[in-house]
Amino acid sequence: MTSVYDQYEIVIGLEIHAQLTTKSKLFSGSSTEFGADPNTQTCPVDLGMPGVLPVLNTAAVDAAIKTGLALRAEVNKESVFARKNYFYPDLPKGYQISQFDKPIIGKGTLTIDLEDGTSRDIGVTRLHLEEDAGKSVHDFGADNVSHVDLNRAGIPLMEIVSEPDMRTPEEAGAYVRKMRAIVRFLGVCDGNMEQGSMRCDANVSVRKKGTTEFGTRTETKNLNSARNIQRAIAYEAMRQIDILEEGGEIVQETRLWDAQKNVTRSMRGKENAHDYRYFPCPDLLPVRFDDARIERNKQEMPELPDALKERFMNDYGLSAYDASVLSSSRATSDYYDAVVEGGKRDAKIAANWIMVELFGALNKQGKDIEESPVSPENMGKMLDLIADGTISGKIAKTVFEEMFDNGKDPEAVVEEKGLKQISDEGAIEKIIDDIIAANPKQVEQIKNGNDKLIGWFVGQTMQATKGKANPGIVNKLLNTKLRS
Amino acid sequence: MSTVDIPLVEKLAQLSRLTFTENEKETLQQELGNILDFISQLQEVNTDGVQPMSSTVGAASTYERPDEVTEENRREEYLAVAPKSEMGFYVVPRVIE
Amino acid sequence: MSLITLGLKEAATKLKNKEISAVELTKATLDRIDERNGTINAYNVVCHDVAMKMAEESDKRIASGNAGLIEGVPIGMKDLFCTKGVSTTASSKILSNFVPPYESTVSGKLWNAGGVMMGKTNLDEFAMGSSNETSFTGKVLNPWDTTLTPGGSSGGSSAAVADFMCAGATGTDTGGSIRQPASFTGIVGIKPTYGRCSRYGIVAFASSLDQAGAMTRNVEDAALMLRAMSGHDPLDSTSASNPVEAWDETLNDFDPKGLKIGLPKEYFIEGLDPNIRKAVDDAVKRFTDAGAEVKEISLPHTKYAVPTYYIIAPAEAASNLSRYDGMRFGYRAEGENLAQTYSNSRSEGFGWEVKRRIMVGNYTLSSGYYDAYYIKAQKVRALIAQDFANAYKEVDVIFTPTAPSTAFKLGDKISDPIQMYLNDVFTVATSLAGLPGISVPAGLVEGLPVGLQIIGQAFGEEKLLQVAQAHEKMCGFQMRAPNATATAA
Repeated sequence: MTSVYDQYEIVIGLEIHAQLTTKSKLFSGSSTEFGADPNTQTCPVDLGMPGVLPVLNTAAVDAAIKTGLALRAEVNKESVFARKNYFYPDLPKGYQISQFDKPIIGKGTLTIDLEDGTSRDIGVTRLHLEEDAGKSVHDFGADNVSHVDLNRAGIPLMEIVSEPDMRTPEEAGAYVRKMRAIVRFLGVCDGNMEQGSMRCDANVSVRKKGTTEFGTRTETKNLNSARNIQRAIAYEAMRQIDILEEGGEIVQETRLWDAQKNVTRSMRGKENAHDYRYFPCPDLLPVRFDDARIERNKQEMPELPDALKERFMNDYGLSAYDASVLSSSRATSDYYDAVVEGGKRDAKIAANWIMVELFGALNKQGKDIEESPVSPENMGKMLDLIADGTISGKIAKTVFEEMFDNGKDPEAVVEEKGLKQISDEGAIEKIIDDIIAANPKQVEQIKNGNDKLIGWFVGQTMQATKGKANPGIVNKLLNTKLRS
Repeated sequence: MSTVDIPLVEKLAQLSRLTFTENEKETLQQELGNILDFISQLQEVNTDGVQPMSSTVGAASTYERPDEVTEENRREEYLAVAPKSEMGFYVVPRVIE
Repeated sequence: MSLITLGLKEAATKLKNKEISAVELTKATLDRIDERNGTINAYNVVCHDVAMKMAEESDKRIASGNAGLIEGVPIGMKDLFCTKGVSTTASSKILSNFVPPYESTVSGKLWNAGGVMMGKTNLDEFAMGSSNETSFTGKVLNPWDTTLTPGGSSGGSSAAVADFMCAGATGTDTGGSIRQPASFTGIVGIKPTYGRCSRYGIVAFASSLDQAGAMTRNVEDAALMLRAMSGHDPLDSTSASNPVEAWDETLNDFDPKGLKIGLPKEYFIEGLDPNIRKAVDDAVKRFTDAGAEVKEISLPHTKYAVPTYYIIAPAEAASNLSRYDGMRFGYRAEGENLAQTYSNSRSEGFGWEVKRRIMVGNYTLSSGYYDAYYIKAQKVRALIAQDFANAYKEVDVIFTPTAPSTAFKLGDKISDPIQMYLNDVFTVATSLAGLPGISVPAGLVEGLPVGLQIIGQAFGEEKLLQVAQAHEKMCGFQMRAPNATATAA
């Protein structure tokens, strides 16, 4: 039975505002540090006082160029800052300096990675620079006032607009995750959605499958995680379909996502479409630069997720999924590359150890890979010890735990704890012979066909050797002695 | 092109965050009408192929400053000129979101 | 020797040579202000204490051999320049209580050069006007005849200089606000090339047109004062990097012989007051007698300059004035809610002319009209600039009248905005093209001063000032005496 929802297609476009990690604001020399006391990071330019003027931050331009390059987008060598005029207490000048018809970055592409391992290209319409607004708080004092903090006013933002190419909430989630990874890789934005340094608005509309006309879209704000983005889109799509199925019409409006109740709500007081009266800001000249600047930014860029993933798959033979995970952050890929050391070590084994053991231990303590007590050098050395037979894979887990808890290097741990693998066949044989001699009943059962009991002998041998006997040799000897 | 009626005056007043009495609106209707007629003379000018000139500062590129923090915390000085402030915040009439 | 009649350069020299002290000069000037300001209303605020303190510091610097360019010279500061710790009102109710916690670049440069602040001079509100009649702090009277306007918007500065209440004063000029009042009060007023002086800290009216300039009693003073005011400012992205020269020192290195003067025929049409015409003709003749050439040129888009200006300037102003909302500084009139507080504060805080221009500005920027008005005006602006560029292929400087009349009666034009706007007919094109322009006294018509406007090439202040200086020497215009009774002619 197909539900009515299956007859519809969701059309999704995302608008992301990424706060830049520049030290100073877009048009003034005020600090951009997070968490300062209200209004302690403002100056007359941020406050829109009489006669003051904006002066552009050069690092913001470079950040936009790099992001544009990462999105394989057109980098416009001439762009213009425009004033977007409206009144609001968190907007000191009564206009926001933004970019309108001549943005710094034009059309580009973002490749998203889906859970089934496939990839899809999503179009990016444009990227432009603009200043952030301040913040109003309403939760203290008299109930007929608000309190305004302008620390955030003037912090640089990149507004990145996607084409309406996404068709499922999952694709939207993947888009946001990838965009976040890219800006973090570039070091231009920390992508922290809870703190608001990366914000996402979703434009959602629906249409009957097979039709090409776009339905009326709504804009949903207050989405502070990829998960909330997906949920909000799913909710909004269903809400719209329900309305259409009842014969109603979608109102073009802005809605807020309520993460407590998992619904979108219409925003009051924004019914009137603003006339922003955009015009080029006469206090600034156009931003103009040459190919040399673009080239310089290109040289300064690190390897990005897509390139890393491809390299991990091609050079190291990783699966698409594993390659994605290990290229999901610069810190992770740097770590992984350091362990593999250009192919000196087995790439797949390294991948496994990092993804399973290291990530597991880090997650338990809520740590990021940057805070790993096990350095990539030590991880590598431990893998070497496994590879050359000094320790078994199983013992290595103990070694790893010790390294993680105490930051020691693997040779020291193996030495201190006497964890060296016993690979002396003679010594192992002697132990095995003793066990066989001591357990005639079990030997009898094996002779009668209960092969599984060999495992018991393996266990006994391991116990006797405190886990250090070379498993390969133990298995070989036991099979020889017990299965003939 | 430049017919000014009261609804237009009211729309512009709203955009400008200005209020006018009914008399003032009528005066403005007249005055704005005259001014708009006056500036509409420009329609006579042939501007085909002419680029708009938004600045007399030729082909230069906007000056870019280095990314450095050059401002210090001078909150008390700045709040001192504010009509209303408390606890480090600007106090404004309630903003309804 | 009357201290208050000393020119800027004259005073600076005497001070440096310790013939007079800064304290005595400042005191004499303050006495003059106390005597005259009640009538003329040139100053919004007089800084008695600050001035005396600055004068004392100047005397100390002179004593230790560290005199600046204009050390100890009394300066009037147009109340549009933000002066740290000193009231800055733009002659508007909405800023009537504003004391900036920062200094404008230009005023800072003048104080660093040793200038002594007498006070903040009156102006048309937010620099919008041509008669200083829109000021919240009352109109300014013309010292030549107190029933007449001194012009605007820099009417206070103009009157202060003409009435010996300072040796020089700053003005700002967006469409003629330095040149026209200079013409009406018989002084020198120079608006430099756009970008010469920093706009940082000057209350903005129309960002692509506003320029600070100097108002003085002679050309040498203007050259020196402008030199002290000019220079690239990293706080102003539109500020020019062209080097500032010692214009006051090269003034006389000039021979009018061979100078090519252009007279734009569109400025000398039927209907131009014949007395004004004669004043310009006389000025030209002084030069041709000295060997200069005069040529008729055409600036074909002249008649569109005023309408172009009255699209661009109000549009930029409407946006620039949005920050006056009663939230972070300035006048606030509480309403029942946010929307009412905005409109109460702005409606009560702004005067009528300002409100009208905001309305016009928002009209021409609003969707549906932007292309037909604002963009169109920017294109015509390009054509106007091109007219000048073409003219300068054939001539070195351009002579025009500064204003279509001598000072008119207070109250005459204030109720007809278009009549008021047409006052700027000779000055706006220069601003639209970003060129430097100077008004120098060229004679008297029925006892009232008439100005000659000389327009120069971009960053051609040196030549412009030299030509102005040559004119001054040949013209022999007499300033009125400090105690001349202000009478109708």
